[in-house]
Amino acid sequence: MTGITESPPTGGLYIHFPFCRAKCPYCHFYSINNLDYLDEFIEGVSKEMGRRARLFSALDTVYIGGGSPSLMTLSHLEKILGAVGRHWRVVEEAEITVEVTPEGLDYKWLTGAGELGVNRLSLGIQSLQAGILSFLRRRHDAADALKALEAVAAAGFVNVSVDLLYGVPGQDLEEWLRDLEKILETSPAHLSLYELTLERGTELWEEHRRGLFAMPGEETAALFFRETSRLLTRAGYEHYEVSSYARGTSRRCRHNLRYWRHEPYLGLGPSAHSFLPPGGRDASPAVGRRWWNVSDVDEYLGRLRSGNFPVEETEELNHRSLAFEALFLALRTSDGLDLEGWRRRYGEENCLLNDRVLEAACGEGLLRREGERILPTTMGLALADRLAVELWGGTA
Amino acid sequence: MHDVGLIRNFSIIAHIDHGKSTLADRLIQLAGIVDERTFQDQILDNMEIERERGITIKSQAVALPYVAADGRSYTLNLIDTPGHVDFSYEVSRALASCEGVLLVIDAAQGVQAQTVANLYLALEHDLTIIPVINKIDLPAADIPKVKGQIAAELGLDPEEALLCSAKEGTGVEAVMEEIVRRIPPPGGDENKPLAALIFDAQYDSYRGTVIHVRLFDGTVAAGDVIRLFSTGATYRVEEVGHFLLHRQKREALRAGEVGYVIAGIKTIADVRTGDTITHDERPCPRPLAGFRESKPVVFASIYPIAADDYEDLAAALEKYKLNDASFVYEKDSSAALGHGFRCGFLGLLHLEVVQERLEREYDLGIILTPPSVRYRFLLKSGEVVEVDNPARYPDPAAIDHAEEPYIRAVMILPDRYLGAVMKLCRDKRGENPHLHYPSPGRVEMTFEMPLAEVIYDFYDRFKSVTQGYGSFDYELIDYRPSRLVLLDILVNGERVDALSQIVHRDQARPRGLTACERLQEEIPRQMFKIAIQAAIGSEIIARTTISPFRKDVTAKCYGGDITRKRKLLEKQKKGKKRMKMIGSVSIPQSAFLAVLKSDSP
Repeated sequence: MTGITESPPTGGLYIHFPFCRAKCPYCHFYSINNLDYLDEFIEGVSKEMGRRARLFSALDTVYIGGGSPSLMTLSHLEKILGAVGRHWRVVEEAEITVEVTPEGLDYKWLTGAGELGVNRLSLGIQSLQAGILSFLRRRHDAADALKALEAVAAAGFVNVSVDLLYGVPGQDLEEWLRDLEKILETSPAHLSLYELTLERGTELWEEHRRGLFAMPGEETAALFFRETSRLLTRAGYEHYEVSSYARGTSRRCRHNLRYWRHEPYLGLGPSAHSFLPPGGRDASPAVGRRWWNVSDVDEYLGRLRSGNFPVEETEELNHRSLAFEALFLALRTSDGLDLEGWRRRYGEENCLLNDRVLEAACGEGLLRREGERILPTTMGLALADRLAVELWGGTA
Repeated sequence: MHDVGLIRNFSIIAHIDHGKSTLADRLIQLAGIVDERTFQDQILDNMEIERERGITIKSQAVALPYVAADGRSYTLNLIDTPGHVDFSYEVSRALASCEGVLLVIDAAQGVQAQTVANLYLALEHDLTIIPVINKIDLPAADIPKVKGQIAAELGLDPEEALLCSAKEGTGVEAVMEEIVRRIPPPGGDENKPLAALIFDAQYDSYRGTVIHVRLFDGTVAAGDVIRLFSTGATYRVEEVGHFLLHRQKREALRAGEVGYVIAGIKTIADVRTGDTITHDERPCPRPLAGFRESKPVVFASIYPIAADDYEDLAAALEKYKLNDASFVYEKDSSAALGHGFRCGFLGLLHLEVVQERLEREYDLGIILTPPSVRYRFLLKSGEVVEVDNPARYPDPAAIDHAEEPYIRAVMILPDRYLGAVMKLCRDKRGENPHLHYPSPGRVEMTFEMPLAEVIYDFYDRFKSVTQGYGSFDYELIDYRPSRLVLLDILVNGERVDALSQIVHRDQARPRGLTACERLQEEIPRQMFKIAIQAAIGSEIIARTTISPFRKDVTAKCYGGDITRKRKLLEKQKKGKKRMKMIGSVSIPQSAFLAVLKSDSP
């Protein structure tokens, strides 16, 4: 055999922990509230690791998301991270993130997690307003949230990200900005500030369809986006992705950056997505490969037990499709797109860019050009999806 | 045995929707040439678009066997006619092939503009006219009123009118019988030199052009060498026959008969409706009367949305042209739209039919530019140029004066709508009105109007102000001096040549504003503010803007599920494909025709 001489790449690992106490009405990620499967799930994920170990020679990011991973006991966490360590070399400066919810976070769990190697927490606060928390049917209040922030700091975590939602029906801009300032007083390393999006199949989507509430209009959403960016930028944060802010480049979420940069990642657990760019060891050099697991714990475990991959679907991406993906993903980030690198990676003939639109987008202040790099402005980030579609100059 | 006494050649004429096709279907059914199982509604209107719109675009013919009350077996040749004013020349050729017509009148709607126009056509050809009051089953049917109109407005004997409901089949047998009784058999002499009138032609991909003819004198058979009078071209006849529902081959066609001739003619463009066929060796001394070339009066350009489709469009037009001799086209190009074709049509309906067929049968995404009439410019140099394409608008400094084509419009309507229609016609630069009250409560009004006004949103407004009770017909009359300007449309400062129009100076401003407003509605919001302007030369006369999107990005794009996002954006990319990029602005197909729609009711 020739051609498989290079060693597997360093990758990122995502583990989807599919358990929650209750499903939030806006969340479209796969989760169940029957915790009986928890032990089996931990074993299943460890088994899946074994089957996928050869894809990467090492890991430099690990991200445990969900679901509510903080429902794991320390011994669960230890089992999972232990398995990770057995299958891969985890590089020394690796970013290891766990998503946690404010309710019931205790000092012991946090310090324990830290000792197991977790060095980044993503804290799902969502809001400090009782009205909004109740609309979102979250089971914590503002006091819990602030207490959780103190607890993670006390447990020694410096790399902490806070998740908040805006664009919630009835939300007041001034109030939102005040809440942000309150959070900023604790100097989180990172913030993920998401506009509430109604996803088909969620409870909120259904309620909205039945006319039970109205979503804020585009102008309001744009205003929130702009003012949020302005406030965070003034406070010294870098608006480095549509919804992501970091207190300095080193605090960016390295795991998420993989998604936006077309770097390889492996997703384990039900509904998790994986991606291998072309040229890697397990993909034919001509195509990228993406696959995702079944969205059902039962089936996920069953398939693993019977020796099968729990994959629901695999797609092969040609260079043309990859080039388009790379464009819309890069336009989500303040780093933008290096046109030269893009063309080199996916081939000149596949990187279709409409020069007239590019010129107009620069002229209108949606994009900046720095040599061969195009970078979205804040206005451009707010329009990233449309920008990508309009910039794409191909007919395919 | 050839006995012209047993032949009747007739046509059915009617105002649109008065039931012409339904009656034709009933006659076919009654003749027993099609069994119930295969009987389709409106067999004669066999084009999909015709069926949908309930109108006939091309003529068709069918021979109906009928045993009359006298016990003899007749052949009734039904020659169907196009049912729209765009095709009045084709109607006249079909009528020239007949000895009589059924003039169908809706029992509820009564006499309408096309009823009158059709009557005049029939009278011109000296045909026997059998009035048929149709739809007598309708609750709103008012037979005495319609009979009154037949007497007062058509000058026919109302007692001769037949009553029927083609839908229910009542009275149809009597129609057959009266065709035999009242319409005279064809004359003609089969021993004289061949004289056959071409009333239609169709393209058959195996046999080439199938010519539909009515023989006035002589006979024609396979092997004969025929000559087309207008071109002098000669062909050897391969097959002749007559029409049942399909072609039925025969030994020969003789004087008085209706049938088809196949003579190895490759394209339909070589055959002209109204032309005369004779024998090359023993020609008739002169052609049959009434031939003229049908001339396009409405022009528009067709462009492919995707430049890659140009070759496909060219092939589709070529193929379409095979079956539509009145459609003409030539190459055209536009800075905004690239390569395309300038096309000429008999009227707006003809244009819409061509557009629909190209999109439907050839699956092409096309852009049609705003239709134009053919203007005449008399230059200071003394030269006269005809311009039907705004792209060829002469240098304004070189123009001495301009002329535009005028029509005479004939409208029949209940008199309560008179005021509204008068106003509409005056708005449309109508002049020289004539009013005539053919019967109580009804007005027949004629107006002389620029043709350009009729193609600009006239039908819809006429229908709307008369609440559907008005009928309309027109004929071209002459060219008259006019003050014209070239109205340009600019999108973000860039002139979109395909949206330019030639308009009357007094209407430039309102038309410019309307165009800007229409485009504002049709062009979806985009990333940038879009300025739409109307201009005459460098003078901006109207302006609208489209505000840009402020936010269009999904909040969450992680968890690695990039596929869902990509599929969503790819859908948007596809949507973009149906639009034309002008500079950095995507303009949908619909925008190009929308500029011609006004907003006044």
